[in-house]
Formats: sequence, C-alpha cells, structure tokens
Amino acid sequence: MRYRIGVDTGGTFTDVALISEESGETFITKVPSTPENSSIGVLNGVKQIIMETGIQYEDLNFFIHGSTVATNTLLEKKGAKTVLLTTKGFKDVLQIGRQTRPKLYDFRARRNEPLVTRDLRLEIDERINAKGEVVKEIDQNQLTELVEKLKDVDAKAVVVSFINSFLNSENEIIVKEFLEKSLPNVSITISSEVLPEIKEYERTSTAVVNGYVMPKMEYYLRYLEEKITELKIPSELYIMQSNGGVINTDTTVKMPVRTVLSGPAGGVVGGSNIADQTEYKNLITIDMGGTSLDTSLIENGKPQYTTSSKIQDFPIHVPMVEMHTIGAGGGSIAWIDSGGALRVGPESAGAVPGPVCYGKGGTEPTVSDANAILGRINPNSLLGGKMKIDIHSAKKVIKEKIADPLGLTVEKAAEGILKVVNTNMVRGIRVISVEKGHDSRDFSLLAFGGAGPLHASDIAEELGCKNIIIPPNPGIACAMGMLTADVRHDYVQSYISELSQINLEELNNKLSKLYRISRDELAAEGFKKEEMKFQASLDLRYKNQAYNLNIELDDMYVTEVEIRNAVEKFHSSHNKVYGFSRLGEELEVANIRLISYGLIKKPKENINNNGPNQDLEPIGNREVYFEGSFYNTSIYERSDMYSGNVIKGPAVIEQLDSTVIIHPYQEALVDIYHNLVIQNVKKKAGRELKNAVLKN
Amino acid sequence: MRSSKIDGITLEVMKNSFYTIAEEMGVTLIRTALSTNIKDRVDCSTAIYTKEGELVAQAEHVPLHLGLMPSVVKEVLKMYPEDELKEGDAILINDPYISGSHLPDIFMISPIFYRNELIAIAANIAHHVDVGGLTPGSMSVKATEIFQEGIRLPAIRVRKNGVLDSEVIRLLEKNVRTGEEVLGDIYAQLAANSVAEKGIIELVEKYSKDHVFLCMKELMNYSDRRMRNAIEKVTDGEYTFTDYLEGDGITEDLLKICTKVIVDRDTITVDFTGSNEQTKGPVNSTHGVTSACVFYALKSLLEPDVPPNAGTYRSIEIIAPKGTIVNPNFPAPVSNANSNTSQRIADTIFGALADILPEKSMAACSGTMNGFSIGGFNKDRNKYFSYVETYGGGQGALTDMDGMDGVHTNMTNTLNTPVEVIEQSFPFIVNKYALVDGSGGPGKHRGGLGLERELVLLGDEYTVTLMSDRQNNKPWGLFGGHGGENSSCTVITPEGERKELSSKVTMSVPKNTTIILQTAGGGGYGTPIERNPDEVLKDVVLGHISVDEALHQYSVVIDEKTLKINYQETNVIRNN
Repeated sequence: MRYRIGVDTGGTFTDVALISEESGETFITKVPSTPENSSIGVLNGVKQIIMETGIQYEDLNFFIHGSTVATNTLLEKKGAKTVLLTTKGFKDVLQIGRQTRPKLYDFRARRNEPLVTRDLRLEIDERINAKGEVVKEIDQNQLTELVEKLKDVDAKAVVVSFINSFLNSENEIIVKEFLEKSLPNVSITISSEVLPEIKEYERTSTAVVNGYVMPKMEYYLRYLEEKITELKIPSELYIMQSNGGVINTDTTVKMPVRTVLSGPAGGVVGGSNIADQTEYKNLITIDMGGTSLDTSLIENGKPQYTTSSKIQDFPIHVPMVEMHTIGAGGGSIAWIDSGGALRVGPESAGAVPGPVCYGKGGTEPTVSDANAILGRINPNSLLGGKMKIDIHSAKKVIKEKIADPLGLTVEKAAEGILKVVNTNMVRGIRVISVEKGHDSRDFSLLAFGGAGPLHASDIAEELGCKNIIIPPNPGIACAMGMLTADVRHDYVQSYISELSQINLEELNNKLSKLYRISRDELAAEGFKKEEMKFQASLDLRYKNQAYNLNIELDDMYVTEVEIRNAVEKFHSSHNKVYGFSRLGEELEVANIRLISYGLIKKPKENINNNGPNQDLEPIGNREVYFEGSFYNTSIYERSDMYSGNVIKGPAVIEQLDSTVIIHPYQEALVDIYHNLVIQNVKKKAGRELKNAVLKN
Repeated sequence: MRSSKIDGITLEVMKNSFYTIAEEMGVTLIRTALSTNIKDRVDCSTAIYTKEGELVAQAEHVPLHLGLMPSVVKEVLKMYPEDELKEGDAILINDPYISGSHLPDIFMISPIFYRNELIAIAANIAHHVDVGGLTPGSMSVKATEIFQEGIRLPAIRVRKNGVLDSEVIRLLEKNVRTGEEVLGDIYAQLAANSVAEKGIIELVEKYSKDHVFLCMKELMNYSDRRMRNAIEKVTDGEYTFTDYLEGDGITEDLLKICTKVIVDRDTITVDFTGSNEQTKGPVNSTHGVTSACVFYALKSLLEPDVPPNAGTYRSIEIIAPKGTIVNPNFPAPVSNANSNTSQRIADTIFGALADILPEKSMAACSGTMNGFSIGGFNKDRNKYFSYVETYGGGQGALTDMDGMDGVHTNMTNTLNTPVEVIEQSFPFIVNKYALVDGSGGPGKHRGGLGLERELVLLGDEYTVTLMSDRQNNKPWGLFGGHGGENSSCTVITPEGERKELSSKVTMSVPKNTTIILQTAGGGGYGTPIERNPDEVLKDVVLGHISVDEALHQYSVVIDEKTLKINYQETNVIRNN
C-alpha cells in the first residue's frame, strides 16, 4: 500500500492526516506542538500515526508539511541578521513605506519596525532608468569594499533591491554573483527574482521578508529532511505554499516567503476539494480556532487569489489564497466599554491562560466560557475526556463581569457574548464576500477549525448562506487539505504596454521565456510532460488606473483573437468587481503571469455508502440554550454517523476535534463523503432579538 | 451605566449593523469611482443619518470629513424639508458656505424611503479631481475670491424621483476640466447611497422601523456618554494656545490662530476668539473644517475608539467668530485651508491641552500636508500631465515614545506615490527619497523625522506649485523638548544656481531643474538631557544624528571610532 501524509503545525497542536492512495481511507491524529523547535512536534506526529495505524514508514509515498516557521520567524522578529542593499538615495524606502500611519485616530499606534535596521541598509551607486537601461554601472571596487563590510557586521542574509530592477535585473544579478562567490555561506535574495513587479516598497518588503526568514527556514527544512531520510520515508519533503500548491524543499529554501500562509492554505485546498466532489461549488470557508478566524471564498470550485497581501502589516506581494483574518476565537475576551456596550475582543486569553472554564488560570470571560454555560460545548470535559471543564468558575466570572453590570441573567449574558462575537465575524466575512461583489446568499458556509462548527449556524443565518458544511475532521482540515495539493509555481514578469500598441512578438517572447523556465523547473522535479499543466494570464487595467485585474489566457501563444477575448473578459470582470466598465477605453498590460502545475495523482475518493446507521442513538443528552431558553438536547458521537443519517435539531454532535451545533430549526445530513450538511427546515423562532431584549 | 431602553448587547449588535452599512457604502464608492483621488487616495467619506439629519454612523476614512458630515445634512433639510422629498431623490452640494468644505469636496445626499415614508438619509462626500477655477485641481494658492476656485453648487436636486437631471449634469460637465472623471465619481456617489438604502431597509424589515429608530438614537447617546465620560476625567479649567501660519499665498505675514479650550465638567468649549481676521488668500477655514479639526483632536486625545456620530460631538461647543481665518465670510477663498490651516488648528488644540494631559499629549507634528504639484506638457508622450502629491513628515513625540518618522499625521493619511511609478508616469528622475537626518526635535523622546524627495524635471519648462508651511516656525516641542526642523524647498537651476522657495508659491521652472523638498520634523517631548543615552547612541548608529549632535543636543559623549558611550563623561556633563 502507498500512503500520503500531511503534517500541519498549529499554535497548540500539530495535526497529522494520512490517506491511502489506493483506497482513499484516512487516518488522523494530533500531538502537542513544540514551538521552540517545531520539527520535534512534526516527527512526534509522524511516529504517533505510524504507531496508531501500524503502517510502515517505507509506505509513506508523499510527505507534505504545512510549516509555521516562516510566519513565526516574522511575527517573533527572530530572523537572521539581514543586510539590505539599495540604490543610492533610497535606503529609507523600507522604513517610509507608503507614509501612512496604522490608525487614523490613535496616534500612539506604531508602524512595524523595519526588519532591517538603518545601519544595515547600505546604498550602492548604481542606476537603471525608467526604460530599463543601465545608466550607472556597478563599480567592482565598491563590491570588494562591500564584502568587507558584510564580513564586519557578520551578515547572515543579504537582500538586494534596486530601483527599476523589475525592468532590468542586470545590476542585481551582478551583485548576487559577486557575493555568492565571496560569501558562500550567506543567503542572497534579489528582488527581481522574488517579485519582478513595479513599486519599490512592496517589492523590497517582499524580498526582505524572504531573506530574513531564509537561514532559519533552510536550517529547519534540511534538518527535517535528514530525519525523514533516517526514518526511511521514501519521499522528498514537500512544503505547502500560500498559493495552495506544494513545492519541494530546494525551492522552498530559496523562496521561503511563499510559505507565509502555509497551513491556512491547506484548509482552502480542502475546501476546493469539497467543491469539486459535491454539488456545493460556491463556498465561504471559516477556520476558527482559539484566537482568530481565517475566512476565504471559493467560487465555482476555485479559491480566490491575491497578489497583494500583508502579514502583520509587512506587504508580501506573492500569489496567495485570499484570506481575511479576524481577531475572534474561543479565547476572545468579553468586556463592557465606557458607554455600556458589550464588546468581544480583540484581546484574547489565547491558549494560556485561556478561557476561565479550562481552569488554567484564565480570569476574563471568553467566548468559550459562554459556549460552556449554554451547553454548546460539553460542560464536563473536552478532547475525549482529556480536558476538564470548570463550569462554575465560568458562570461566576460571566455573572460578575457581564451579567450583573448589564442587568441580565447569566444565560442571557452568555448568549449576548455569542451574538456579539458572531456579529464581529460576520462583519469580517463580508470583507471577502459582499465587499468584493459576491452575494453571500449564493454560497454555502464551510466551517472548520475547533470552534468553526460551533458558530457556523449563527454566522450562516446572518449571511443568508444556503447550507452549512462540516467536513469529517474539522479540527484538522488543513492537514487533510494538503493531501490533495499539486505542485505549483507562480511566475510574473512586469510588462507595461498599451494593449492597442502591443507588440505580440515581444509579449510572446517574454511568455515563452517564462514557459521554458517553468517547464525546466518541473522537469527537474521529476514531472513528465503529461503531468505538467500551465496557465498564462495578463494583469490588465484601464490606462492610468492603479487597479489590475488578472485575466486568464486560453493558450500559451497569444494571438490577436486571444487579446480581443481578454479585453472582453476584462470588461465583464471589471463590471463585476468594480460595478462599471468602460467599453472602448484603452487598456494597458501591467504584468505577464504564468502558473505551472506538476500534477500529482489524486488518492482514490473515499466514498462511503455504508449507511445510514440504523442503530444510531444519542450518546446522552443535556440542556442546551437556543434563542432564549434551554432545550433538552440529544448528543451524538460523530463516528457513529454514516452516510444517509439525518439528525433533527436541536442536537449536538461531538467529536474529538470539534463540536457541531444543530439548532432547533435545522437538520443535518451525512453525505457520502462524510460531510455533515446542515440546512434550515423551519423558520427560525420569532424575532427574539427585538422582542426579548427590549426592556422598558 | 444603564441609562437606556436598549441593553448593551443589542447596542453592540446594532452599532455593528449601522457601521457595516456606512463602511459598505464606502467600499462601493471606492470600488466604483473613476478617479485615482478616490480609488487610491481614498479621499472620501460615507455616512447614514436619521430622517431629521442627525449623523448615526460614519465610516472612518478622512479625519477632515469628521466635522463636515455632522452639519451638512441638517442644512440641506432646511432647504428641502421632509414633505418636499421623494423616493429616488438625490441632492448635490459643494458650497463651502453651507457644506463647510472646499469646492472639490462634493456631497451627495439621498433620502431613504420605506413604504412611502422617509426613514433615514444617506450621504457621502468625495474629493473630485477638478471643479474648474484658476488652476487644474481647483486649489490655486493665488485665488482671492471663491469664484476663482471653481463651480459652486448650492443644494441641487440632481435626481428627482429616480430620474437624473441631465441638464444639471451637463452644466457641471462643462464647467470642470475633467468632465468624464467627475461624472464617473458622481455615479459612484449615487451607487454608494443605494447601498445604504438597501441596508437600512433590510434592517427595518428584520427588526421593525421603531426598533431601528430607537437604536439610532441610542447609538448617539452611547457615543455621547463615552465622550462625556472621557471629558469628565479632564481637570476643569481654561487652557489657551496660540500658533501661526506662514502666509496665505498672497502675503507672507504670520497669521494667528488663537485657541481657548474650556473644560467644564463633561463639556468642552473651544473658543477661537482673537484669531486672525480672514485672509485675502485661500487659507480660510470654514466653520465645517474648523469643527473637523476640533473633533479630530479631541477624539484622538480623549477617546480614539468612540464611534463618530452626532452624539460624539454633543458635549463639544465651538466658538469661531465670523470674519476670521477660522470662520470666513463669503466670498473669501478657502481651498487651501484643508491642507494647511486645518493642521495648524489641530496643533493649537493639542498645545492647549498638553499641560493638563501630559500623558496623552503629542508634541507638534510636521504641521502641513506639504501639497506639491508639477504640471506641464510631456513632449515624449505628447500630452499634458499633472503630478499632485502630499508629503508626510515627522510626528510629534509622546510621553513614552518617539514620534514616527516620515508619516502623514493628524488631518490626512493618504499614500505616497512610489518612485518607480513617478518615473514611469512623469518626465522626472527621482534622485532621493529619504528621511531627513537630524530633523526630529530633540527631547527625552525625539520628534519624528521629516521626508526628503529630490526630483530632476526633464524635457521642458513646467509649473511648480507648493502649498506648505513651517519654514520659519518650528513644530514645537513639549515639556522641554525642542522643536522639529523646519521644512524647505530648494530649486537648483541647470546652471547650478540655488534658490529657496517660500512656503506657498506657484512658479515656472526651466527644464533640467532639480527640486529638493524637505518636510518638517516633529517636536520633541521632555528635555533632551533626560533621554536615555542608549537611545541617543542608537540614533547615532542609525545615522540620524552625528556624534557632535549627540554631545551638543543630548550631552551624551560617544567615541567616534568605537561608537561607545563614555558614561563617566556623560554623567559629568549631564550633572552640570
């Protein structure tokens, strides 16, 4: 048998998913994460699942890893000592950014300190002009002096970002080659390789992030690679990228910036699999954990991508799954502000000290405490009994800090906390849906993460989503998603030209250059011709506008017909995204893009027609609070449910990694992929918000 | 804490709903606008109102619009009372003497009906690229009457019962330089108000009309409560401050802004009596702009997080004598007040309250938006171009931290234009874009550094307009902190002749001229001698100050070669 393994490092747990390539059967496990050296958690997880399943290391055919090393290095500012080389006159570009302050009214809010301090930002006397011509060549003596300086400061990484290098990378390459020869142990990043796109600040920022995390990432991945070899796992180490594809270790080590959303992207890939398999092609995904919620959107089975993200306010302009993060999770703290309004977040009790009910020293009322009081999560224990719940302390703190000041019962206060946090989440989800021209009523809500299935119904109600889908293992959806990812590389080449004046030969030359590079790269990774797939596209815009739209091309050779089709697509896409189009207006090309895929054979689909389980019985029952009163509610165990089983609300479905809530007005069906599909079957009772909460 | 009929949960949920509507109006306006001014610089704001014209929720885009949004709808409702309004109506207005802003800021106001009854009002404001007048962009520094600043639209019903008045549109189109963009943005403004209409009607259908009305009122009371709670913590008394603008574009006389902040229990009165009489040049700040500065400064000092609506400002009264620079009489020109006078008014309020709010106060920021534009004919491309940008500077220092370097402060927060975009779009070469070393006002915490841009203008003779300030009076420091370095603008002719430009000027320069614009640094906070020597050393290592400056400004002795502090000598000097 051949298996594929996915390991996703999270803040608290490292999740492992294993799938049989032949049967599609899956296995999962969770082990504690080891933040000080996350490879220990990864290896523990691999050993654990091998032990639990009895599968051999030699049968692990494909190893995929969602790593937080790049992200955490960035967040904790623990990257390498990095030197930035800029064109003379521009060393402060990294610090000035776009000259804006982070918060309009809070003048105490600070921007990020740049990752490279000013004394390590050195200027090189060189210049490329706006036409891409070298107007000042680099003097070799300068470079010799530079090497001495780099040795002096003991630089571990060097980033080169010159003005207009997106048009001509000659000078950046000269520096790179010189340094590679003189300082073989220093990591070198040049901006024209990471992101050959206009706008010096964003390009420099992206390149700096790459250089800054590179040494740490290289050390980590090489170590892990070695251990995998020692275990006799016959697979290369593949890393999940932010764009939903995987790349091998050699490429990751050169371009670690591509992995900043490594784990979360796995969840989105999982979402697009569900869209592929089921009739639900349009999905809004929510991944809710202890401190935050990540949301993304899948339209017609395709995740939405962006090339202009920020991670912790650092612009990173490489292609990524478009994702919005909201500071709302189980640990979000409820409080009453100076005007008497109930607020939830952005402060979070996090994993430590955590919610009051976890009994680990938390003292502030949180969303999880509210869920426990209302019976939504098991008021005795979680994680299959491994974690006890202290419901009395939770009640006490909500009474003192929320219910009494507001003059409400503890239950009403707890319900209020959920209402407010749900409202906050809905507001965030609208950013990637309604505000981007999508009607959320045309979408189903795919909920995962430990807390997603708890809140899914209320969120879906507010957004008007048609259904709610809960995957089989919502708590490890990201690791599961990775198992089906293809290898993917993104290439971009800045090319600015009016469309009416476009030189097709030049355009095709540039495109075929990208094509050759990408084909060779895939071939070097061992892909055969029939396993390669390419998608070319153009970033187009109305002339003199700043907003590009990415328009896919049907072919790798661009003809006049193709250009005309692209123009048409641009207008209709512009109309959708921006609400108008200007037919007949001059268009401009900004970038040529190419995505190459190395297709990986998909594991067999794990279709399960073994149900329904005729003997399905609740494992117990408890009082659960829904819309103003407690209901005696049946509790089910997820693994007892087979395809075709239908559960009528109110009900709670418990599983190791999550808790699913079925409201009194809902019904849940288990489909052949073991997803739970939840739908409204009755009208939600009353308008209780209006009636119950108004007081005189 | 509970003084209302709505509990804290409903309040928070409904607050979220109202602000979501205001924000989605904003997203629609930005998404569908045609001009880069709105799309990229986000120079617009959106809001919803009660049917009486009270501001319920305003999306936070431009601080300057804070004070404009509360008053204008009520004024327009006086001209178009409820019984004259119909479903599908929309009203345009940009008259500064009613709407409060300058002419490029056009408001669009739409009544919202539900079952034939007026239930709310939606409004938005957008800064249009051009509304006619003396110069492109309609903000000439040489205007002496509002008539030279562009077309003035009193409240005009541009859409009646859902039908757009094509005659008014034609009139507007023919009176501006960029007709297509202005109309495109007008349509975007109409689209934004439709979003509000849809959102408010959905809320009414979900909860009932009365509930929505009640929550609107309660939300205002909530903001009012929070502001008053914050004001009550401020010691009662009268606090004054005076600061100056350097010229109005016509003369270089100092123009006085005199501010008295009176804190009385839970209310604040800001009295500008004694300020300069209105000026001939266009730096007059209308009552609306003046109010915006007061609201901005008080909100950010006292309660940055309070949601802006009519209630937020109930506790604040403004006395701005007619005929002065802070409340001019018609037809005084006003276009440049938004970029200069506004910043100085905000400075005076921070200055007045500094002594009683030392832990919250900020020393003076760079004090102007440093408007800079270059226009002319690009021979290479055979077309006219116009480069317009505002430059950030140093932020003032705070009680516990240095000011931010090279950043937009107070009344604006628009993006810069990337060097590579400038070189692609205009016939210029950028030689330098950097922080100005030594420009931050020394102090226990130092002011932020100003910005420098060096441009070479190729190809032809071009017209350069500067709208700046703080060339002679430094942005002040607090509690012994020194002022930030002044701004400057140097022109170097192709022959190498240098000339300093004054702060507000329009002139033509020959081809191959070099221009170096430096913006002011922020003021320092606390005496420089109190500054931690390690912080002083850090500034030396980063190249912001020299070893000499460390010694003379901060009394810290640093060895030039080893870059180590000589603590012994430092202590001796500091203790003397």
